[in-house]
Amino acid sequence: MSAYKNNPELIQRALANEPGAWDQLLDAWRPVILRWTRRMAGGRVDPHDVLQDVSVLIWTHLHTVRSPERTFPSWLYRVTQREIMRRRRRAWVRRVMLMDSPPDRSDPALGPEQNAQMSESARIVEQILQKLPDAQREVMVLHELEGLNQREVAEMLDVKLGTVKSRLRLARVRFEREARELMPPGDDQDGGDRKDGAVLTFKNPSNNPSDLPFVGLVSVGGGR
Amino acid sequence: MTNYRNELDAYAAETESTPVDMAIARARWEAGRPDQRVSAWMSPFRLAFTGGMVAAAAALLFALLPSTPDNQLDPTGPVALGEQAAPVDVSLLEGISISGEGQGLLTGTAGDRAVALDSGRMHFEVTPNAGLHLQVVTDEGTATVLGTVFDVERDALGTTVSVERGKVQVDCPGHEAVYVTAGRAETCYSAEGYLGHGRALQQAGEAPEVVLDAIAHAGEVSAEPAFRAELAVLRIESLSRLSRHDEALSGVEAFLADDALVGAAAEHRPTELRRLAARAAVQVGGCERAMPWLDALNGSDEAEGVDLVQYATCVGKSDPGAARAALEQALDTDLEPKLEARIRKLLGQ
Repeated sequence: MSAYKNNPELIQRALANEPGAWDQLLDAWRPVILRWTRRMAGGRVDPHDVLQDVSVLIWTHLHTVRSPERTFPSWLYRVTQREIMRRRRRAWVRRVMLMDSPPDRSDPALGPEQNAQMSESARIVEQILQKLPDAQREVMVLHELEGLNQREVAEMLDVKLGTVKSRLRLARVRFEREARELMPPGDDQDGGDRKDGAVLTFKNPSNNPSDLPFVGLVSVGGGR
Repeated sequence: MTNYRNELDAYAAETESTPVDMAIARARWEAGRPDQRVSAWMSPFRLAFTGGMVAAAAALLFALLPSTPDNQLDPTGPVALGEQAAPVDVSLLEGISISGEGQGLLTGTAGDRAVALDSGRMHFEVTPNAGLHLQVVTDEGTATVLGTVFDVERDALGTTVSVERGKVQVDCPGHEAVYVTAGRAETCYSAEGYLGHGRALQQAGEAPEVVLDAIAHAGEVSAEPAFRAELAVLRIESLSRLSRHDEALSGVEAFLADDALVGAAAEHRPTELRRLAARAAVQVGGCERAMPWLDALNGSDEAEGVDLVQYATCVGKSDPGAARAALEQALDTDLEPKLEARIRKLLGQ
């Protein structure tokens, strides 16, 4: 699982209860668990609640994992996914059985400021991801957002490579169809221009030439 | 997915975990971690050893209790509080009681005690007007009792003193002592707390002066290099936004000269700081001052369009060929459409 830095030695040290090893292990994986949760569940669960429960499960059950130094990332992914599903089911039962109010779509852990800062295009991506069936969404997240290759996704999900490929193909088709509806060409969002239906966004807010002290470009007509 | 790569990248960046997330996660973990971990290493030897220790502790307690009236203690040596994650419930003969969940060490003699609180939340009751002196000390600050009932909680974000009755003097490093009265609380931040507070203010759109003020004393608490690095970055960013370019430049130079900070910082930080330094250097000393920074950026794989354009602007007169090459390279990056059009015109495209 090359996209994730698994550290077998750290896992062994944690299992041997060496001072500081547990904290190091949790520190290394917390960002990943939070990311998975945000991307898989959108705003439907509190990612910090999921992280807390998954951390407890690592703490109490790591010793039950076979060959954790090899299988830890996929075990952790399954545990996180189960926890997300459990919380979503609970929210659904609460909503349906107790006629509770529908959940807030925003990510409660991000806080109002950060939610307000989420760009329109990111919000639409989240909306589309949440429309995908679970099986398609997880291959999209792991491959397109987490950067795993298709073989690594198959290993992570314990399914055949062909299954990943077909799920990914279906997910992309559905994503693009939804995206065309929600982001029609010519609709200028985020201050960016569109080319072929895509929003051109700057990765880094500081990547704005107007921030730079340009006093005019000099002539470069000489060539090499 | 090429049509929507930009959107997916933006979404990925916006759902990335932040240092503030990590500070929150650590604080929650410290507050809610289970007392006992199910462990495979509990060998018969260890179980026997632990059992022996428990029996010995029980025997010691049994021997101690009858010697003091009403189950109150009068220790003259250090007493560990909350060992083995057990709840703390200690009543001292002179009129101080300590309860709660956490770990710490009680030292001192009757009437003059100190508790070094490592973690968790403890509740203190000190008989008023009895001449009792109690200090609760953590890495982030000191609470000195003036006859009162109060709580001290230590988590990843710092140490919080909440007063129920009476008055407590709280000393946070770098700040003037404050007297906290009943119903009020005061927090001495840890490095993580300062960072979380500063980033939250920044994300809420507060002025950079406010952010700088919030983290001004962060250097006075001990911090792991990763937190020192993030605090330094936050300070440099704020200085830059305030156009205090000389200070921002010095900050970047100091940061990059500190191997521990560079090693602990997120991978992209040094490049970000070089970019910021190049911008500040242009303001302070023009292209001449900025060139070392621009050269470093231009020679790396991390150069963005703006870096390349700035480089071309600076070398345009002295080395038009290099400037042209940099502008051509810049056209392959994300650029503002107007700037892109201007560069194309300049290059005769």
